[in-house]
Amino acid sequence: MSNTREPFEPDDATLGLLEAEEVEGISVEPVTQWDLFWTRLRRHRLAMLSAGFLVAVAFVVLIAPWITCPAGDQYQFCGRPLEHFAEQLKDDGGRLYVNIAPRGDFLFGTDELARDVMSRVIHGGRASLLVGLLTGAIVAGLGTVVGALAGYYPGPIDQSLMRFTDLVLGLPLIPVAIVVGRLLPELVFLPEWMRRGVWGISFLLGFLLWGTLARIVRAEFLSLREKEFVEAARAAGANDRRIIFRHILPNAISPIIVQTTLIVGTAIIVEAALSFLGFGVRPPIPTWGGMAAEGAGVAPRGYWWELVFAASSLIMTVLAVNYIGDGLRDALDPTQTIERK
Amino acid sequence: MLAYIVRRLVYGAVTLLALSLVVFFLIQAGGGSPLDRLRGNPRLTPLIPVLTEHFGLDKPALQQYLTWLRNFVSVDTFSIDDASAVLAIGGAIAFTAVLWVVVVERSWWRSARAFTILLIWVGALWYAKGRITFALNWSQSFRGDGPVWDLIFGAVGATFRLGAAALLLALIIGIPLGIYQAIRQYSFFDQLGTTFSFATFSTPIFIIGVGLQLIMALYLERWTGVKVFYVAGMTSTDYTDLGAAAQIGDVFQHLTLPAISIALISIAQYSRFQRASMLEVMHSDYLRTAKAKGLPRRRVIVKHALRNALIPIVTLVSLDIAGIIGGAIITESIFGWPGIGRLYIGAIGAVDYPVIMAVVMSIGIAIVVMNIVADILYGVLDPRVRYE
Repeated sequence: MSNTREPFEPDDATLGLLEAEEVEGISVEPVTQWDLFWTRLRRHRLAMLSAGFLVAVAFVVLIAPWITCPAGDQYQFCGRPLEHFAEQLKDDGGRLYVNIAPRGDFLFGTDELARDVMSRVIHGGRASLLVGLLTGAIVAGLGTVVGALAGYYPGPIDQSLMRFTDLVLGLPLIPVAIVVGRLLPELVFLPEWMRRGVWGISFLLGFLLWGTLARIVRAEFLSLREKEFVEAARAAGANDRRIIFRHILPNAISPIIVQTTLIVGTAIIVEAALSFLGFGVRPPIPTWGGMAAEGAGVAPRGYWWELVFAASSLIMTVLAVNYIGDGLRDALDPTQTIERK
Repeated sequence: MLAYIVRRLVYGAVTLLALSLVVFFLIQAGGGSPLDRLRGNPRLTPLIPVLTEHFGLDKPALQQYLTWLRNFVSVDTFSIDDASAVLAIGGAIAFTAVLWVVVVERSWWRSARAFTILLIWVGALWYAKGRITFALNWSQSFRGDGPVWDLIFGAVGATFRLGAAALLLALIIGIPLGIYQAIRQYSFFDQLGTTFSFATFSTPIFIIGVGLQLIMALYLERWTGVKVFYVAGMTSTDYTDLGAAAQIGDVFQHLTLPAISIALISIAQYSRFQRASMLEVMHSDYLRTAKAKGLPRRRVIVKHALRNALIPIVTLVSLDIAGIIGGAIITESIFGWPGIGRLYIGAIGAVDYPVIMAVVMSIGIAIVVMNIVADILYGVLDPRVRYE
């Protein structure tokens, strides 16, 4: 494979790589697609910045159990349902810890139920990020399989799969998601964590959002399956499974990655919208969307911190995801010249 | 062309059938009964068995679905109050037929014909609206709010006002923004527009709505003492007492904020799309030719680039209808807007099947019809596209 590459015009980034190798006196190594991808991605400053931000968010969210509950267990914050032990909730002056504006011991303030907003924002991040990633995984799996089968096997398989995809894409997202979201807690045969929590919503969103990716993958497969290298693989005796997974899929991976990244952001936003309408992840499990929805109700009374911190975390995270998607799109597209962002 | 439209309509009908099946059985599976709210009141409890039988709620789900489906497509009332309406519809049909067969070998003819037909039909239906009584048998609301047909048509007007305002706003801001960004690629303004688009894509619509309420209404009034925008309802309570000019002003004061909340995300989408489309055209060979033969820059951009770059947006707008309606559902509950979104949320809470189904089906029909219209328009605008 390495010797059959087409001659290419090195652009700035490639030249940079080549020169660096020469300066150290090492023979010029072949520049792989992977090197090109990395060089291009590193050029996209906003994407790199976003990646850094997301890593930081993921780190904070992962160590949440060790860094929340700042004032000991007596407040029972930690995103768990609050036991109404009013005695425990009073400060030294006998006042309840309710709707406290941000201050030293409560950096993000407290909410109507005396819960520490910062703890809840961190735990909410866990739920929201999990919704995004799970939905992305489901969409990537479903969309790739359906699109690959439809694109590789023309005729009845393609026709029936694409008609089904059209049907799913024809469903109006929000109204249908509301109906399913209402249904989820009632599905008694499912375990509790699936019905009320993050998993149920992720499955719901995953099953509603895979259509676009399936179409993209199908289009890629349709064109790739006619290429010479597929013919060569078939002549060499490769079976369908090997051709699909080892020969075509790696060449169709770029749009899958980009679309999945965008779905992660979409899922977080749609979950927030559903939470606002009361059909998302159910309280007391905090999500950024749910917290912002609760905060939206009390913000007009002046308790802005209950809205602002959750909302801005959500917006900044989704923004970072979208910038990474943009960076990946630029980096994975071999025809594109490097743009400065 | 006609065969194409018929085929699309058949596909659309199948999609709608699937949609109705999915939603109906999801609601059934969700449990709860529209009559549950009567249980708390001992005086109303005896009514439950009576109403259960009256609404057919004791029947198997499939039978309930079939009953609903039969009712949904059957005509309840149809009477012609004024014969001139029939003339108007007949005239529209005749005019369409005549225009259809007339052949004019001019580049503008296909577009002009399509828009004329569209205008004639809008006018004819508008004229017939008050003169022909027509209703489908969409049965009664389980909450006792009256016939579902009337409920839907009472609410559709409100949602249409909101959606149309949002769409108009998105078009007149989003498209010029995208064009300007493409002409001045990588300028400061372009970067600003891109940042705005990304930020808007990343914000849930309810946060935009609530933010607008807080900043543009609550804080603005607190700081300046002037009430510029209202945050709830379509009109003020004393709307009917106002003069004509004051009425228009009142409508705008109520409409602006919810329309902006829906429009912002569409503005972002349209400007991104228009920018990409314009850039693609700007890098095309025929544009290089136009520049090379020395045409003034303005003429190159307006006559050669813009005309071609505007075509793809038709598809985007039609796909965006679903997004605008979805946004309207959320925005209506923030701004207390009496449209189908609020009707829907209320009906979901009360397990009011007929209303839920009617709203979902209306949205589905709107999306299917808009997609077909967009495809036809695309064919009209781009002569390379021919539907077989």
